[in-house]
Amino acid sequence: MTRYAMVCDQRLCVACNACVVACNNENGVPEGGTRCWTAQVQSGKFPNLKMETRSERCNHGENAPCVPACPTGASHHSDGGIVLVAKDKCVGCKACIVACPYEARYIHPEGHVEKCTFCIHRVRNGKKPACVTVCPTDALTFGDLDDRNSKIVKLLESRQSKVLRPEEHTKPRYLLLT
Amino acid sequence: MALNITTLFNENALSLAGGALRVSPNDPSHIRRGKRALQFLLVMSLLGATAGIYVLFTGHHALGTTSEIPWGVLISTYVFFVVSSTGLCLVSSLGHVFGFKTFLPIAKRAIFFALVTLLIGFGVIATELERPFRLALMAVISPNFSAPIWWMGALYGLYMVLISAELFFLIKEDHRRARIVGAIGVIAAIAAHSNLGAVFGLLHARPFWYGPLMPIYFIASALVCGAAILMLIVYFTDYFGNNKQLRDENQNLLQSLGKLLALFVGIVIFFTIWKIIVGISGGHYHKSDVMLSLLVGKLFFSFWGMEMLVGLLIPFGILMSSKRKEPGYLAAAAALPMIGIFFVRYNFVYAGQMFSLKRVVGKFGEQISYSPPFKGQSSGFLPYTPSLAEMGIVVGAISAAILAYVIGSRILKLREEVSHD
Repeated sequence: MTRYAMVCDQRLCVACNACVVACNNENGVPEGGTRCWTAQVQSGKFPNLKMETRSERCNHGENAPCVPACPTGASHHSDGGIVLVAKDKCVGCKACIVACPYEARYIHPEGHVEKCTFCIHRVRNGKKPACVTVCPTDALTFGDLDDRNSKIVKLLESRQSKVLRPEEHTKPRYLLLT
Repeated sequence: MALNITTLFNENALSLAGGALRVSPNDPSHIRRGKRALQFLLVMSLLGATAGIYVLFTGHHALGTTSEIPWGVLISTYVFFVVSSTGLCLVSSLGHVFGFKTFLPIAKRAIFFALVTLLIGFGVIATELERPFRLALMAVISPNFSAPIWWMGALYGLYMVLISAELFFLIKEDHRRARIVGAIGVIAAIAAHSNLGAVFGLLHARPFWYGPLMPIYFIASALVCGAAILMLIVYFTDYFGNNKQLRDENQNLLQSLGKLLALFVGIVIFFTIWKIIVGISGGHYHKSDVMLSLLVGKLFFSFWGMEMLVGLLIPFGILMSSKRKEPGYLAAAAALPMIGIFFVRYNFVYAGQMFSLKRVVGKFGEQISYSPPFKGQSSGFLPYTPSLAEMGIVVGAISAAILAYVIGSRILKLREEVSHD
């Protein structure tokens, strides 16, 4: 089996937004929509300060709450567990947008909901997602969790990782190396 | 006085409808005022229909909702209408399903209005959906049985068929069949409406909505609407009618409904108090922030003024006071919760989304900045104002519901019924 996942190395990410631009280009993201964005989290009190820098997107959870919320099955788990929206089944009820704890979805002007697809059209052709390809510091890694020799598995085995909003129990396939 | 369903297809129907609207110089002054009000409602309904068609063609851009606040006043209005429908079905079932004789005379009018409000509710949600016609197709050929919205559609569809059959049998005076269909209708109403509560209650990502309370709370507020609308129907039937015997019977019915309404309003006040206590007692920062916005923040007026004072406390006060037997006061005590419940729905739908989930409020006071920036990322607050088209649809839908009731009940001769012994 294939279980696609992505990690972002917070030590390498510089929030340059190359991933955002690549994504918007690759997927023709309409104005007002966002599939990929960067976040800078500052915490602590001077002089003990901490900063996390990362790229964020749909977490493609194994328990993604958008999938059971969709009345027509438009939101579904596709190849390798990637969460997709089938454009022709989407009725625009927006239940998935309300259900998403990451606010990773938007309404396309044509009347359906869209989100990060892990660039499945590229992945199916053996390419990496657009955001991964352009990352100047190689902070983003995409791969198959069931492939023991893949870079992503090695990274997750050798480094500490965390997920966004663990309290939502979505079992994210988008992980952060800390 | 047996009525025949063929009345519907009589050539009289149109002239009856016209008669409800045409002001004649022989009418007494209060009837003339009533007819002018109906003409006004007709204009508002047409405006609402225009706004609805405009939204259907232009889509999402015509609405004030965004990707951050995807559900707006059209969702809350849809909930308001189906709440009313469910409430009417449940409260009127006391008479013709559960055999409380006092409530028998209201059955036909209640079920007819339940059908009207349900259909108008469907109309409102159709304008809110990006692709309403596709839903009708996809719900059948590609159903997702884990989705509360699918069940909501299926159960409300079933409910619609059942109350239509119930109305048919009631008009045919076939009380045995009406009772059987009515009993199943009550079950469908409870299933459908509590399921609507689950549409919100199952969203773990939205702490203000999440929880098993929602389905129960929805049923409780449906009962308030049901009793209140029936009181208004009885009161206005009385006001515009001139039948002395009917007047005495109606007075009795109005007072009984008033007692029920007092109970239902009391239950909702109880729920609201516990919602406040659970909300502000911590647990989840998102939930307590929303509750504080309702109590002392941006939704202060909408919550305390409309939801609590107008919707619950003043009517409860009237219904518990010495004025609880006077028709005028009872009508006021019924009209206020309807205004209040409209705001209850709006507050409920908007408040669940008013804070961005992207905001981070951690133990150590983390600050987070996004690029590209998101709306409301600093305070987390997301504003929403209904667009003109949305407001038009809301006003049009409410006008159309009243108009459809008055004309429909005239054509079907629902008003003239008296209790059956």
